[in-house]
Amino acid sequence: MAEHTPDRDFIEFVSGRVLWLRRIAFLLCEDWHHADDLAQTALTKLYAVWPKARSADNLDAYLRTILVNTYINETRRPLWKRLVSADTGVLLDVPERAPDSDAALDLRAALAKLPPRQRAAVVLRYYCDLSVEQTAAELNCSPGTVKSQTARGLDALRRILQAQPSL
Amino acid sequence: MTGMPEDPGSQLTALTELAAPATAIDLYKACDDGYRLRLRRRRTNRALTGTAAVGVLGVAATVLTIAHSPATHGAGQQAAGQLPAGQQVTTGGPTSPPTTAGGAPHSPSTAPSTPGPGIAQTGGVRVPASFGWLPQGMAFIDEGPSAGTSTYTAAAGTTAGKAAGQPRVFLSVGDTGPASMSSKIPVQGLGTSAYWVAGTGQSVVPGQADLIWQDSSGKWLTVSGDSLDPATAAATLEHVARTIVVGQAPLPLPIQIRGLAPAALGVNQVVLTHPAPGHTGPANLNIGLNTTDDSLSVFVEPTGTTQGPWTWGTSACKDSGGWNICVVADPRAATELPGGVNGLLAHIQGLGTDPAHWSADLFAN
Repeated sequence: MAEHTPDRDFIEFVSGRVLWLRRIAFLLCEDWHHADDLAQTALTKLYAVWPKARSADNLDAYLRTILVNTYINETRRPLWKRLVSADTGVLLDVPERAPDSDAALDLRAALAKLPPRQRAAVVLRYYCDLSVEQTAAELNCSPGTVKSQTARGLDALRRILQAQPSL
Repeated sequence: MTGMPEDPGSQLTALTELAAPATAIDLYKACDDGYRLRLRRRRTNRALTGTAAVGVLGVAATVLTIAHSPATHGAGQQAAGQLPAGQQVTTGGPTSPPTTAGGAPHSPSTAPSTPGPGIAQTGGVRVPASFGWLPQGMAFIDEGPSAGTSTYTAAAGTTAGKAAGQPRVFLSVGDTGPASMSSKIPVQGLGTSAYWVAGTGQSVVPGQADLIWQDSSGKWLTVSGDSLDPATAAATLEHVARTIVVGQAPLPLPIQIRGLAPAALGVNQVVLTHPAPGHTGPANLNIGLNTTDDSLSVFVEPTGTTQGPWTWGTSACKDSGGWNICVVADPRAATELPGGVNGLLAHIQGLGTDPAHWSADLFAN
């Protein structure tokens, strides 16, 4: 199979963003290996439209939107639903904990229980530090929906975290 | 018990800073897969290299990417191609005269997801618009409809597939106008309202921006270029735009599927690469057939071309009518085919290398 010579500007753009993308993916899916898959897919999709996308106003947002949509679309698949419902599998691949990781792991487990769009809203608003309007644009919904999704997501996280013992 | 922190962002950041396994993200694999995806989706760019390759890669869950690069075309192969550009028909969809009327500007990249041109199971394979005049060096055209996309796209280039730095011209046809734009520059002679446009925050540079207009049927058309001579790009693209032939037209193909009901095999995509008018060279064809997950493809290259190997599925090839025809399916799709890939292959017939004998009727009795 012939080798394709990648567009240099694409490599330059994404090479500094791989870890950033992977971390967002991880917050969405709660699994580093799945995060790699999501990020890989997002990068593939971006490259597929790169001749046009390279001139986008905000390439970071463009790439992040691809990632979030990929994640949300995947949650509609029966296989994925089965996987996320398997509570025992969520934390199995967690590497050794850092000394102060208990709270983060609690949050990770709680995040896993949020519906996908709520989780995406929380991650975009509070990890990616997007405004309500920016989040709405990336989730293709209204600002009001983002507010409600975020509020419900945070409320659910509080309830989940208060209800479960520390890990 | 752990409560929700006052600052969710900090907690989320801490979560990402937990020790993580080494990443398996492969940028170059993304490029390779994405390059192939361009072909499959009929987006604005078609990425093909010069040697035989087809592949499909499972990405994320079950996303399947079908890849195809035109194989090394054997020396001495009879030229197959040279379709008459811009054939027009009077049935099968909205038609409009070659000249276009104007409308408000748009950016095709902002078009919402609406049903695309689709691929008629009966009535043949059609395209909504075709290139007319092309710059002299544009020797090959990629065209063909895709189902389920909001924008139809065709491309012309100096090679049968993208080569780095080689000029390309793109034609897009969509149903909707722009959501936003920064500014526009009117273009004369292309209807009452035609513009060079760019996205919000971008400056409009004719020749580098998109040239858009709305035709009398309400379709939005866009012409753009890549790697064109900056000194002449604007004039070149404006002339390309003025000669675009709008209206549903049959796309004759070099193969036919005989003895199978169209309903048995949904057609997701047809990508025909053929020489532009006035040029000669090999043609090739990629047809995406629908089982349940786009995992079945037919690849057609001139006889003598080595296709494959495919690493993602089961394949079978044969020579017929001057063409090397391969059916490739992932294992699950193969089991859905009566007789497997060989069963389908037996129904496919090459129609010869003379485009005069080709047919837009992909299915026939």
